[in-house]
Amino acid sequence: MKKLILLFMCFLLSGCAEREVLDDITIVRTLGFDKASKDNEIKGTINYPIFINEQTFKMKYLTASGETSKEIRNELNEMTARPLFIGKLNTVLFSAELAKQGIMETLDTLQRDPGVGRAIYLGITKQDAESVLSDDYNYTNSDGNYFSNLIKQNENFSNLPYLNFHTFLYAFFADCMDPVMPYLSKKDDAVKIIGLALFKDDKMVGSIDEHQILIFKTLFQNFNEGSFQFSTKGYKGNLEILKSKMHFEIIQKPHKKVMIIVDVKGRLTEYTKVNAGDPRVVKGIEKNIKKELEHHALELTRKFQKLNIDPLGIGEHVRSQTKGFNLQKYRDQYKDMDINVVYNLKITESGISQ
Amino acid sequence: MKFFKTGKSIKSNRSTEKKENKQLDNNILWQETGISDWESGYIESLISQERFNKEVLRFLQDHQKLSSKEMYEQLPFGNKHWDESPDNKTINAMILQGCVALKKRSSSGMVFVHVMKEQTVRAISVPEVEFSVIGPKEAFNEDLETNLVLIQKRLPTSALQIELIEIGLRSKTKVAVLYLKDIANEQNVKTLKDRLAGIEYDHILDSSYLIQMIEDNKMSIFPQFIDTERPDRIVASLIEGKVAFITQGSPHGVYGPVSILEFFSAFDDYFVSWHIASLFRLMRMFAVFFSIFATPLYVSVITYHPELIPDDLLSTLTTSRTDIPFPPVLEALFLELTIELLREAGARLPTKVGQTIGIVGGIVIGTASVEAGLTSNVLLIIVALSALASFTTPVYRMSNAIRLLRFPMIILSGFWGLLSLTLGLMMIISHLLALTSLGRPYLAPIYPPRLSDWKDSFIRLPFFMQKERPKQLKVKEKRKMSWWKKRDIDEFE
Repeated sequence: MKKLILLFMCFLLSGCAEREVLDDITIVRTLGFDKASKDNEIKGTINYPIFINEQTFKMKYLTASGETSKEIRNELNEMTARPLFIGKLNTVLFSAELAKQGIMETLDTLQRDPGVGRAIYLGITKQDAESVLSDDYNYTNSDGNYFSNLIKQNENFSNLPYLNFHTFLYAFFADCMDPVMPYLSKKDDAVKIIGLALFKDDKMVGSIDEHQILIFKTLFQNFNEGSFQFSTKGYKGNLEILKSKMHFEIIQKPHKKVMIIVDVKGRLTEYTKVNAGDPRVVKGIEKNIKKELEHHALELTRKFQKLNIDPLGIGEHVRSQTKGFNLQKYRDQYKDMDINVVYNLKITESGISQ
Repeated sequence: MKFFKTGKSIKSNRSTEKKENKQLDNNILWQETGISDWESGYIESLISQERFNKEVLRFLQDHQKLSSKEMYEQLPFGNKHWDESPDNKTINAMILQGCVALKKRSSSGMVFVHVMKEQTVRAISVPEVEFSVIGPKEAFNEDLETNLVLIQKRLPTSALQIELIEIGLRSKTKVAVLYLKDIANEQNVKTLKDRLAGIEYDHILDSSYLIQMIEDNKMSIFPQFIDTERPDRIVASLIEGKVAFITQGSPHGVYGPVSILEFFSAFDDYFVSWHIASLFRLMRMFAVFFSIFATPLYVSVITYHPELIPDDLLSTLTTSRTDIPFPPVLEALFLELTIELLREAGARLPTKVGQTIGIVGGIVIGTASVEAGLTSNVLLIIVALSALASFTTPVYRMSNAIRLLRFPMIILSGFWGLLSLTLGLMMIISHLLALTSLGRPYLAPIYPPRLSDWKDSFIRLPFFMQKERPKQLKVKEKRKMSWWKKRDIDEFE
């Protein structure tokens, strides 16, 4: 009997459970942060669906500014009919202007919230995040999934490396690695990925342009889909990458010379002025592309060394392969480290026509 | 038949019997036969007058000189009984069984001859609950003898043991316990017989009375015996080494020990090819989980964990929920109750009206409640599907249990969402782990793990792979076939 009473008393605890009934909350889909006009203040923009009747709904956006993201949240809460719910957040955007000052203060609350998924996407916008969020791009963003689908699609089927909140946090908290984020820009009726934003700790220090994204991806991780535009004197064309696998070797210890070896398998999908049916010609093209890839890769690594950032996580590779790794010493030497990149390219096919 | 011969093996409560039967029953008609000094006693409604006149009396007429004992020896009846000095109790018992008592006034010995009236019983019909497209279409009826014949003709072996017990202080229902002597585990047989013998109750009108009385855990909502109207299913269970019993007056045979997975195997699974049978079984198991957890999952996700809703479903779910005034728990309970009401109404009404109720209720109430904005159409689909899924369970008793289980789950998920749903699942699992059927683990091939028994559990492998009987039954003869060697057709001579 005593047990039964105890059991039933447990049910009284159900009053403590926090109810978030689906139709009684404001489901925030996208968050955007900008620098506010006042100093020390940031401006937050949310994007959420409002349901008009049983069939239709549309996206609405709200903006508020405050010194902390919690303050912004409170401000926004004072404007919405239902409590804010950020569990279904899919993208967080920062304006480049704000990112240059540091974003971790803002991201910190999201990072602590167990309701916020680690698979959400982060992005830097060239314009104000508010202006990017407030548009629905001719109904493209009418379901609030536009930005996340844009990034997801490009990661899975194109050149953008796999980046999300988790990889950002990993790179941010790692000793010898710096985060990167997709760099977006509003163009007419759409948002375009214009490159990658480079970070030093939580401050944006530079960017790489869209042609270099693929090179970055080959150096950053293994993947199966991507395409590379090449152009040499004689011809230009497109290499569709079927498989790219990178591995990392330390040639000279400690941290003097490292080599990144990338095995790329690809398919020629577009080429001009040459007969790509001829194996000898293909061999020639292969050599040229390889040269071009290596050239771009070196350009990238030099840029990173110059900025003293390590978005590729070379330091993490070195640390994992070095006994008695000295972080300080490594950091001092990073700028002068000799980073070699070698591409082993193999063109497996060049289409069905001869 | 042998077991109708004596009343001695009959177990019954003696103390009440004594009080009751101090004198002979009033219904017994004692009269002179008019042949020498023979007296006869019987109950008119029980015996066949025609046989009594034509066979018994004529024989007495022809052999007037014989003494009682000689008469007993010479009477051309198989089912007869001699008692040197019977007491009233024996006489009552014998006559109530449909015997005619014959007594010479001069001697104390009594001859009992069984000339019971042929009972009119329902014909053997097609199984209605466990109908199968392929396979035998015989079902038990209410007559114990007929049911036993249905089994015996499928199992013409001397190993088949039929033991008769009489249960019910007043109803004196005959219950036949069946098992195969050379296969069944003695412990199982003993447990079942002891439990049946221990029953003290006024009346046993159906085997389901007995099931509820001898279950290992009478508080559990899970049935611990399978009752079936198919004689072939009983035979199959006997051959596996299980113990069965059939009750007089009940069209259902019962067998045990059973494990939970057996409740989800229909008997046609053995008639169709094993691929299809396996697919159907997996489907049924999925249906069970769906039926128990779909609505509670919906309720808990919508109420407490909206972040778990996939992006693509978010707008569909939210638009269907807008304008609904009730919290999801009430909405779900309302719909589930509606479906249960429809089912109950359909079950109570005559068949033809019942169908109409189903259609009217299903379509009209469902559509109307969505249009009135009382329930969301997504939930309506989920509830209807889970109701449908609960009907796929072949054993009716189990499908009832599953339908009942849904309600506490829905209420729990209304309390704390997924947390309490998990708690509920844990409670179900720990209950199932503790449950036994005739003392054997209920969750058997899963836990304790008996991997070789999995061949006929979630899936059904072809017969040539099932060489052994289920391990958990602890049978005497483990192998189902003495040897098995694959031979091509041209190797036969």
